Amino acid sequence: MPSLPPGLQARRSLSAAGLIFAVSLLFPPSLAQAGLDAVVLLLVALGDQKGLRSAAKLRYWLAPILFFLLIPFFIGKRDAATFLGPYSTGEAGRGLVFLLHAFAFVGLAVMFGRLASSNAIVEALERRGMRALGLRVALSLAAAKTLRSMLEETWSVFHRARPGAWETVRDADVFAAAVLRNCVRTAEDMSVLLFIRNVRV
Amino acid sequence: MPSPEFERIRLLVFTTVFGSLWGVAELLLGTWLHLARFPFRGAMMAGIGAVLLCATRVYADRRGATFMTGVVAAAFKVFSMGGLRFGPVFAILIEAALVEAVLSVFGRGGPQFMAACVVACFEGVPHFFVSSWLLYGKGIFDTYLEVVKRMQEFFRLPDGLWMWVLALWAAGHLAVGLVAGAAAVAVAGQAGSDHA
Repeated sequence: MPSLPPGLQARRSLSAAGLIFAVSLLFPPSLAQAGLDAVVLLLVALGDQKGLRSAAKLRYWLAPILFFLLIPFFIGKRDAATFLGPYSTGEAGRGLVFLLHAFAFVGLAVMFGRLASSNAIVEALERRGMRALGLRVALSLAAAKTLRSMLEETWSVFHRARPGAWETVRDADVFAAAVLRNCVRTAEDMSVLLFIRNVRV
Repeated sequence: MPSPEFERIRLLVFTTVFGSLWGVAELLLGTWLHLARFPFRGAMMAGIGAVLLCATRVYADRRGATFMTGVVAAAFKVFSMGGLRFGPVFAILIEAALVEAVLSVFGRGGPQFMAACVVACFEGVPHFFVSSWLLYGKGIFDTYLEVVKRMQEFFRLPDGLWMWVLALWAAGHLAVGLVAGAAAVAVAGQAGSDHA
């Protein structure tokens, strides 16, 4: 049997993993939920190993790992003795389930983000009735540079006349009105340009 | 009298440019607020977005125009980040949908703009609970409550203090929404007089 193209296999893994993750949301923290999350991670690994590795970077997980490792010292039935004091194995188990669930979610989200290319998103939305979205996206990216310069220049002129923090806050509505006016001017100019260049939507 | 074709182009351009402005504001101000760990940064960015959405409605008063502005801002976020990140993208889409719903059902006007901004900023409160549920599962709230109770006991704080903290946090979102609403009313009023 011929193997599936990598893209299609990844998409099928993603669909299956997404469905199983949705089911796991219905369960409380338990072996059942952990089992479902493990299956999700297996499917994600089958579809996108590189994405899963990027989701596993320690710097993202250090804070939650420390949180769930330490709270069994403070909550739950402390049924085990450690050199740091009494420890709740039940809470530690729950913490592991939370971390596994979080990793499954993040792995799934990373895989979806990597598979959903910008062009695919635009095409999918246009098929669902959001006409001219491709034009909007192109226009948005083109306008962004102009708008960024406009914001920086407007802020520079505004701030030069109002160097103090209090004056800045007091006259914030002047800045907002200036940004709005400049933005409208940009939009009007673009509308006229598209019209005279015979761009139709 | 502008032609219908020009009006269609104008509608597309205005919603796109205002959506892009929101996207650029998220990029510039949002990043700074996040790095500075500014309190209520999510609500503040939602407030700025809501003000822009209300201003868009003055220039593009068509059902769906407000939500489309949000779609552009979300798409801008996706392309500028180089990939899809659920949290900020979904927050932008939900806020745009809420403002669209308020303005489409109740129309344009000062109280409507105020209500739309408050609703958009308050979205951050349920957003936190939904995100936690998705990320850790539904058992996480029991764990959070247990931790809070232990902290109350350890620091000899009154029972139920966590409810006051929660109420304060929600009130902070409401306050940001009210400020944004006032700004939206002022900005829309200015835009309306320029546009007339």
